[in-house]
Amino acid sequence: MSELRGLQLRIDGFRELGAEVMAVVIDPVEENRKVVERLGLDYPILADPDGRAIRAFGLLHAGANPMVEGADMARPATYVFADGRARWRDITENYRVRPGADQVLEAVREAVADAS
Amino acid sequence: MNQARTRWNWPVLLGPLLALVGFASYFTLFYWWPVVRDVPWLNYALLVLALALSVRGLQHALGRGALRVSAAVLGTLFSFGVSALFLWYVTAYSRNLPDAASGLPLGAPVPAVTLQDHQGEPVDLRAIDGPLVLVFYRGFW
Repeated sequence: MSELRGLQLRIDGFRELGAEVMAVVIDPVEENRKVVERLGLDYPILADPDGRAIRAFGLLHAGANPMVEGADMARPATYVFADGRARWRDITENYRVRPGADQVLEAVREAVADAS
Repeated sequence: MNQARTRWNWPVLLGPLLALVGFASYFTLFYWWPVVRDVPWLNYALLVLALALSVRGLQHALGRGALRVSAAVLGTLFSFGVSALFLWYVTAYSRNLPDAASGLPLGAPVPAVTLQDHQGEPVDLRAIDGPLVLVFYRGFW
């Protein structure tokens, strides 16, 4: 979850490029509201409790949820879309290791340049 | 000589304590900063220091009675155990993920999914104008 705070610190940079930032998680709406408040996020967290989006993105880590025995969760991943197409992605092989906000910002900058 | 015998062998206690701190501080504190999260070098440093203290305490305890030696051996084993557990978590356990090949490929369109945001409002991913950054994370814990 620490990547959410990192992205918040660069939110002005994303906005300058006209980009929207959104997070997706299996947690329910109520839990996400608390996280948005706790971390002071200016971007939304989308609730995907039945894993529809997570499955559509092929990011399901089946049975890995530590809070609910046997429940699924997402593997950490970041996608950048521009002109409706996936332009950049990071799917980590180690869930502790995730791209920094500057790296994502650079990816958006390049995607915007490529798409235009 | 007598004075040296009665002096407390602090490293015997400090070593295991520092090992605990070196382990727990990753999850409670350093996990929040990518610079010490992706490669947990600060925790490695703390654990190496903990091991050094434990070994030093063991050296001090040698020849000063079975009780002191046992305590020092236990403390050293504890420090090594905690360090091994951390190393296992960092290098093996956190790599326990499914094959990344199933991930949505580059060039693919935004999947047609509508989800509720944190205020309960529906968000259609395809209806978003302009570039979109989507971050999938594991959960609130």
